[in-house]
Amino acid sequence: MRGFVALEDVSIVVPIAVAIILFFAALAWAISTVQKTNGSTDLTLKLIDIADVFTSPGVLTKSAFSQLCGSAMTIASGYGFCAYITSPTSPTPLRSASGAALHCGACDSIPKHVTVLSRAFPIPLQTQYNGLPYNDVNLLVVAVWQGG
Amino acid sequence: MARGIASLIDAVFLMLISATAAAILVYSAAHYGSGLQRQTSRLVMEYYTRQAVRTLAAASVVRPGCDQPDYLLAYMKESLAKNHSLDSATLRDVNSVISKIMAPLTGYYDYAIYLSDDKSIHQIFGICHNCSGKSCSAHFFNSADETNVSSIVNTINSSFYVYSSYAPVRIRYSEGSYGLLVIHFYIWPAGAISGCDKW
Repeated sequence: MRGFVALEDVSIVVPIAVAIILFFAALAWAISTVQKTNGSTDLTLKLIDIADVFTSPGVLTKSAFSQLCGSAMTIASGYGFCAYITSPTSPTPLRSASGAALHCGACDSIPKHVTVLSRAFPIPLQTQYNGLPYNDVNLLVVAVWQGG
Repeated sequence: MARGIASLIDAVFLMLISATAAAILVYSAAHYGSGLQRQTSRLVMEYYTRQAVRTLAAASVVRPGCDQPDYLLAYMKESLAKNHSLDSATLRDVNSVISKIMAPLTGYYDYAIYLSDDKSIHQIFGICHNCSGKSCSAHFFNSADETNVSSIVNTINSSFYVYSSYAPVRIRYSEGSYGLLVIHFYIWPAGAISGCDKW
């Protein structure tokens, strides 16, 4: 009889333990997934906010780029970011962005072990052609990551 | 014995309830993720199309034989006012600018530019990939026939994967006669619209 009681305890404890483990494992996974998704959404929104700073004048000039860089740094507070202008025909890779003529943010210290979100958008950059303004099509590359 | 079986059944019920709750959690978390991801991806692509139209409207070109740059939009409006559609030289200039705008998405996304006004301008052109099996081929299309243009625009607009933006600009047809030209820009994943080789 005593043996049966012990067996009975085991048969109750095992399903209850499985149920609790299953529930909390699912809860932990769900919380982590939601947090990851929220983090990724925040990064995307921050990336668009930063891109918006540089695209807001319509046509970008070299002097405006350095002025706008200050505004972008204020907007990106709490995040790391790098923004630079590159040619669409021979684009500069993100890791060499600090070599680009127009760059802003921490392009030379992009962390290796964090998720970096980067996107390129077309932007007209004003240059000169025979002494006249010429709006050339360039790419604005923006990269953001958590922490900064 | 009966008490033992009852306890076992209670535990099994608890496990069933817990499994259902866990399944609901997993399902809702997965859907929350995919829904938000789809929306943020859409946000970025729509920002891209908006920026593409703004860049197209501001871009400069230097025509062969000219030593001065001018706005591409000025050439487009000039050609549209004269011919109700873009002539081949202007179309070439537009395509060279568009190829730079689309450079980061080349091969992955197709595009179309639709020009319309309240009078007679209806033209659509772009590049689309038609896929059969594993092979896809790029196809340049250009149409200024109103019925055909409407049919193409309806097909593009009815596709779920299309991102679009537009810019209205004033156009002068003749002295004192003005209209509103709308430049629509569409992009969609390459091969997402089937049958575009017939456009």
